[in-house]
Amino acid sequence: MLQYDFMVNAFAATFIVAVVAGSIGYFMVLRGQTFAGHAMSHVGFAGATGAVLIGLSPLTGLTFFTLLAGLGIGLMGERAQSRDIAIGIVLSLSLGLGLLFLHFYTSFAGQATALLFGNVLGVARDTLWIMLVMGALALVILAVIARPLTFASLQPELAEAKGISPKILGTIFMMLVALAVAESVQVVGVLLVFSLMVAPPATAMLLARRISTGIALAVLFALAQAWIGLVLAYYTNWPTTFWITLLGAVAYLAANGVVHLTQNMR
Amino acid sequence: MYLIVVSALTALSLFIAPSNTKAADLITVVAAENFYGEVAETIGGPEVTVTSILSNPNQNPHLFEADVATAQAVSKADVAVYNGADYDPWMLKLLKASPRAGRTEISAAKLTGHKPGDNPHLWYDPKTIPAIAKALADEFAKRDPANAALYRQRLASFEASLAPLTDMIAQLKAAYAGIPVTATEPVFGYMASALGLDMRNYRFQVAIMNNTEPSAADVAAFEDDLRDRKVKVLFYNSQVTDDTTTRLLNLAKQSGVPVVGVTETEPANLDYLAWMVSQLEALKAALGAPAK
Repeated sequence: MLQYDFMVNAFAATFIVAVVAGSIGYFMVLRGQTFAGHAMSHVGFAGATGAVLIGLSPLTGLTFFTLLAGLGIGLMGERAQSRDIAIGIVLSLSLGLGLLFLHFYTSFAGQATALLFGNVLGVARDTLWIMLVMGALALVILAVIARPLTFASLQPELAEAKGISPKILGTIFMMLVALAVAESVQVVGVLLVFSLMVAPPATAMLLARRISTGIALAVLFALAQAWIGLVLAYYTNWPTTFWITLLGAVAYLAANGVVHLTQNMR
Repeated sequence: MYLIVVSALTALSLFIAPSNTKAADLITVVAAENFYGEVAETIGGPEVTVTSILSNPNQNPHLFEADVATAQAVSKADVAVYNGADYDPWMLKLLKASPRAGRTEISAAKLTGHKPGDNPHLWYDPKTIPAIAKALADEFAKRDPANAALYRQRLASFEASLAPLTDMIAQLKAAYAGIPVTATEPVFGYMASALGLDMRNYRFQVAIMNNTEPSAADVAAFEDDLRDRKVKVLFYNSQVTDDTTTRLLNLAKQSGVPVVGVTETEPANLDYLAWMVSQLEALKAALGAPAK
């Protein structure tokens, strides 16, 4: 299995994505923003088509547009209810813009749409370096804002009283999510990024009460999910994404079962 | 964690023996699409082994996701043939993910001077398949000089075998050049220009191909063409039909515009020549007696 370069690259790429998605995803789930993560992985489409239209590289457009959407969602609403509305509006507007750009781009748009369907088995060595740099950058920013972000996520009123603005912090966090999503989507695909951002942190949250343990578990679960999924895909020849999403669901259900059992035993 | 994975891998590899027992002396070819793979089989004969990736005519080539077996085939290949022009971007990714010294990549788009953004259905251009055949014959001859004469001979007989298609194109062109036609998707586009047909509503076709909405004006122009019988034939992609194209098909039937179904990928029971000739036969039947 490891005699193939594409498998080695796949293990390395999913390692980077799992660490970034697991830790950022933990805060995303903690703050109840899974819908935002989902939206973020789709708004890149408009950016990619728009960039192709004006002759830029689709990747530039994808990154720029996703960051812009993160900024928009962050600024539009902090409370859960208004936040979902903000996300819905940003998501539908950007998909609409994508359609408009495709309307004006009257030739085959393969290069724009191809970006949204990344493939774990098709990661090149030089792409890995870009991913590593972007992933490290995202983790450093997260490490800096982690403490105030936790505070603002759990006790927003108290945080505000202490001079931390939940809105500014939330916006920075949303842009961080955007950065992580934009860099991973073109490598491993929309579905895989989203699946690694939600299921492992949710599972970790069921099993660990402390935030630091939770983050560590989330990263561990994401990594296990991705790597075992790759091994299963190698030996069954079924799609990698299927195995990874299945493992995520199974782990979450199993953790739920464990929690129920231990509660009943008490 | 690392230990767990490594031991799991070792355990698994004990049960499943590595399957890289390929015959060393054969040239291995991987073709992204089966119509190119078929050419490689014809030119290479028993001296090469060919794996075609897109070979099921029912899967949508635009939504293809590569599996492990595909990535393996690509990583082991000596020669890789693909369409290019962003029709099969997954192939480029797989090639970059598995670098292999001395592998030759043959792109139909590069051979025929097409770039991303162009109509990607290059195999409908009568010049493409002969260009691929020649590039493959040259490549095989270079890798296996002992059999060079054999490859050249197969190339010559393959080129000769395409004569019925070339003749038919010339015949149809003489009879129908300049006739206005239209299509729901640009699949048949290059063949239509080879026949000298006047292909209308290109913007509409691109919109359908890109899975976006055709504009109201484009739809209106298309419907007028059919209703007023300004076009003599409507081509449609019989593999991709939705509400918009079904409505246009019905409209064509009501106004008596003949309809010709074409397929994007090669049907399972036909080879390239038979596939193209059968579609041209259908076109000829639909157009009827030449207007001139």
